[in-house]
Amino acid sequence: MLDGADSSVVAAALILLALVVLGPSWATPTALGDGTAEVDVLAPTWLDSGEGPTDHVLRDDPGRFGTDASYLRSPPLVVDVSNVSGSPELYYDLDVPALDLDTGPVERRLSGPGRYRLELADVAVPPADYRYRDVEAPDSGVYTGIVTVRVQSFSGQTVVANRTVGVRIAR
Amino acid sequence: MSDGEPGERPSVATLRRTVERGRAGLFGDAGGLVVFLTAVVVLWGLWRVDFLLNDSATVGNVLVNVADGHLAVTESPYALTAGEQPGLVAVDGQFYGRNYGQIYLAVPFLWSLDAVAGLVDLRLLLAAGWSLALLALARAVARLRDRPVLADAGAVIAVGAFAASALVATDMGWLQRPRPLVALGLSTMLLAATGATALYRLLSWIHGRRVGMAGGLGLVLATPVGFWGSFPKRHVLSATVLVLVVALFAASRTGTDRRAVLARAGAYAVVGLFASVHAFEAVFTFAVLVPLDVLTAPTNDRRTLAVVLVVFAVSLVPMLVTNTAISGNPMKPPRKLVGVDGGLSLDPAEAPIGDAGAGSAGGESSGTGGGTDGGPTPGDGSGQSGDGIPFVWVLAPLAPVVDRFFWILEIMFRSIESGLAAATELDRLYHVMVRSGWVPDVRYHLTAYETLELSFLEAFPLSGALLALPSLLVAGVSRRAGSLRDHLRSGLADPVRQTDLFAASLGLTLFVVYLPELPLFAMITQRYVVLVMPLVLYGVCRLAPVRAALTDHGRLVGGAYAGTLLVGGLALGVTFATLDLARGEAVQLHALLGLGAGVVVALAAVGWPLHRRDRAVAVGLALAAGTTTLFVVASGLVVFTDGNHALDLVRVVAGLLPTVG
Repeated sequence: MLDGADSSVVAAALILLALVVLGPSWATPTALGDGTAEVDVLAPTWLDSGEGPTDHVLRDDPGRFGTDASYLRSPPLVVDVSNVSGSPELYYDLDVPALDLDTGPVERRLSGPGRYRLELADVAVPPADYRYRDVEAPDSGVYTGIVTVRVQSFSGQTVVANRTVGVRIAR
Repeated sequence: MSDGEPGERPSVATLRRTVERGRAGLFGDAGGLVVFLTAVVVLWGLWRVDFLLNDSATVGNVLVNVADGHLAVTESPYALTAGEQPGLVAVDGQFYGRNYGQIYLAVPFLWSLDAVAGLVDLRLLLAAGWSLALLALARAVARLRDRPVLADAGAVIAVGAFAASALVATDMGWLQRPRPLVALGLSTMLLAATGATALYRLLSWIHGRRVGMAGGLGLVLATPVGFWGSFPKRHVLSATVLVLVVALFAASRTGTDRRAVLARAGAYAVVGLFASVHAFEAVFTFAVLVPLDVLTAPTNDRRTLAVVLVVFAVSLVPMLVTNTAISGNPMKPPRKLVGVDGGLSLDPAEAPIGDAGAGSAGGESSGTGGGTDGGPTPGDGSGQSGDGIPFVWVLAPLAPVVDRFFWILEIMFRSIESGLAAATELDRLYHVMVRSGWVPDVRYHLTAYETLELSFLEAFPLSGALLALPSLLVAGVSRRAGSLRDHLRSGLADPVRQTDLFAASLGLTLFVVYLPELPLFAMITQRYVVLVMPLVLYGVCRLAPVRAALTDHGRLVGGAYAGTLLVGGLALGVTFATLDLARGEAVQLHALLGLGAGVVVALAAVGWPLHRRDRAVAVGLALAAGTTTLFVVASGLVVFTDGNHALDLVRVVAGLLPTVG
């Protein structure tokens, strides 16, 4: 039976030994490489449908816990991925050009087949009376947003979905 | 102190003695070592190797260049343009950064990391470092508690954690050059742990080990120092400096022996070195230290003062050399030079420093949004002020220095003046101290309209206990005989009271000079005044009800703290999973929890002279401390992170938790 001091010394020696033995390039690289994958969108379902541009309106919810901002919450993207070769990544973005909103994009490395879920950041919209010099809160109304889903790598990109949606700023 | 085991060879015994002596010098005793290692293990675990605010890109770039042997920024791996590096200044076509003292501290770490880069994997090195810290902690706790089995358990966990890390290790794909940021993180964490240890030593000297442990551990676990503990910002360094100065001040009040004189000189040396990081904060620290030190020192004989003066002068060398090399003027810090992206920093009264539009030299902005800030360092607007003073002619070679001296006095006067004016504005005080929420006039567009600004009390609910001070003073004075004047006179002869006075003056001064800047965007925990929070914690630990709760009901405090973490952690997890919170909402949820805990601990402490229920105070303290710990941990795992953890294991665990944002 080792006493307290000895067990610490043995453990420290083991860790240091392993550190040296495993060498300088042990960690798995995460850099984007070449590759492709097949993607089947499960949600949001309207990404696959051929409906008109303003049917699927994202609206802003009031902020909670004393945040006077409201929030534009994009639906999570859920996909089934198959036939992965190399190391491609999945790209998901919602852009609202007229509002200069920044929800993402989010990019996720596809390490293998399976179900992936990507979430865009919630975007805060200032209260109607916010004003600082030339910065102003957007007027209420429905703005055009563009949702993009694609698989990309150094060897190219495949667009999975690219369509417009209505984004409602409510006051 | 051990004299070595019987039968040991003399050289081994000597080595052992040296190690023991070194340990005693650094950590005080076994308790200090436990505090230090706990701080390291916790901060390392929550460490995100990244920029939280974009001026860290400037600091990272400067480190790369300083490690290469020059102050000028010629290589810029962390930003493509000058505009992405708030705080960058230009002199004769050369770019320079700021906070050079902080960068010098990180250089040895970067060199060490570079030296072993060809030998070991960086990700594994980080895992190994954490495991070794955990080993050392387990061993120190085993010794402190006399439970060797704890060291064995620690050894098993440390090896297991390292093995698991090796299995899931990935490279730091989010950074092209991780090592400089790792070096900055390491030096910042060690500084935070040093501050915690210094507070432990100060408080255990006054009130014994239990109160010391609570204060030291509390610094990292129950104040926002834990939040900033691994980010390459100056706030942790400043906080640690103030604790060190107060602790050295205290140690130098107790006698006239060599130790006391060295401690006194040490306090000045820390301030002198601090000037190479943030001259503005250092000047105010110095201005508070000098009068209180001279008035309360056990002796002001010529020999002592000579030692203090010489040590202080030497400690200023890093600042003087850096300033001279950059601006040609030893008294002109980089923060006061022309910013690369525009004009000089302006008087805060005219335009808030850090206004994105003002293009100040002192800028930084939130990684979550944008924008700049630079600290309230009123500018050069007045130009040369010493031209008309005759003796400047006599001292012609010293003219720039003398000129700077008056310029510094002017800055100090104006900062105090605007600070005191700001302290009378109730709306401002309310939003800075009590409740944040959506604060009018804060430029939220610079942080993507996210409400990331906790108030002082929300971020640091334990500080609410300090509200008990007036009621305790009244109760204390009314209980004792004699006039108020007698109390003051006898009180101020006591080294502990002298230290209280110094800590309070220092804390109030630095709080007041930053107050005109607040509330401000991208503060998260009112970070400009994070440096005074350890002093507030010192004050809290000095309160009679807090001491009574910690000393007589330590188990209750520990149990209630653990309960708060357990129940609170589960409740937060469920809340995050079900409410789909945005980042600003998550921060404001923490704000409300902090506010509630702060009110509870304040009520318990304020009412203590009447109810005398130590247990209520104990539970209040645990609740307040636990609420901040939850904020610090949730920030590290979920709220302020994006898979950028130093430890792969933590990255994997954090990936399983509900997301925010």
